[in-house]
Amino acid sequence: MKQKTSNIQMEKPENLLQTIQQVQPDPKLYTAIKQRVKNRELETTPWSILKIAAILCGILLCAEAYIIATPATADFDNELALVSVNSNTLYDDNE
Amino acid sequence: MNFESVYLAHSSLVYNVALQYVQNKEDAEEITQDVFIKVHDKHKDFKGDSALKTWIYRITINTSLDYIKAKNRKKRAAFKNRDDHALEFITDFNHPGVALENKEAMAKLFAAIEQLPENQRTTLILLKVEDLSQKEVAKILDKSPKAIESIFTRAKANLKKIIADSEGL
Repeated sequence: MKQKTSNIQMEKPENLLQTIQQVQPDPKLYTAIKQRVKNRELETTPWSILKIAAILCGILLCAEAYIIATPATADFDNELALVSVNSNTLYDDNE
Repeated sequence: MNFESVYLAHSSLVYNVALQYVQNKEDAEEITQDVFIKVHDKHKDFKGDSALKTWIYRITINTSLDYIKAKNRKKRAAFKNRDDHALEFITDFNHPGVALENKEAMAKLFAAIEQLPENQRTTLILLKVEDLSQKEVAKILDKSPKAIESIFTRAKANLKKIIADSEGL
């Protein structure tokens, strides 16, 4: 009988898997999971604040760099605003 | 999505699938914890284009396979470094769902299953232990039912060969 069983298992070994019973997990597992979720939330909060602060600093630094780099273009714009001397101007050279 | 109700509805599924991969209670509990942490973190990413159960199956399978890979890396390092303390953590076959009279045969069977490619191993577990249909397995693994049938056929053939080789037949 043992030999016959062994032969069957050899022919269809995967069928032995069907004898495995389902097992219930330990009820304490949920408590452990909840605690891990809570710990992660506590860890994440300070990091989120730091990340946001770092991003804001980055933006401010970029803005500052842009402002420092652009004074020459501002003066050029002012020069363009001056009225050019041509025959259409109203002032008299003889005055 | 209420986390507690999701846990209550799916904890047994997750735990038992994990058991089929690691065959011991301690590792299965670790994997179950990791799975539900991921479910908690990623529930906003869950688009609902598959059933929640299918999504949880996928996370469980991937987490179990990753866990095994990490454990095997530690084992290799322990053997290489002759780390006796680390070697103590290599657990024997101790599947709580296996009857005592089947323990030896099942240990040999799982040792053979571990040598199968991941897709064959997973298909075997889902079809034969979880007792899912080919259609359900196809949805979980994102393949066609025909592909699952083909993978299962190859898995059975490979399993027979591995067992025969190990017994010197």
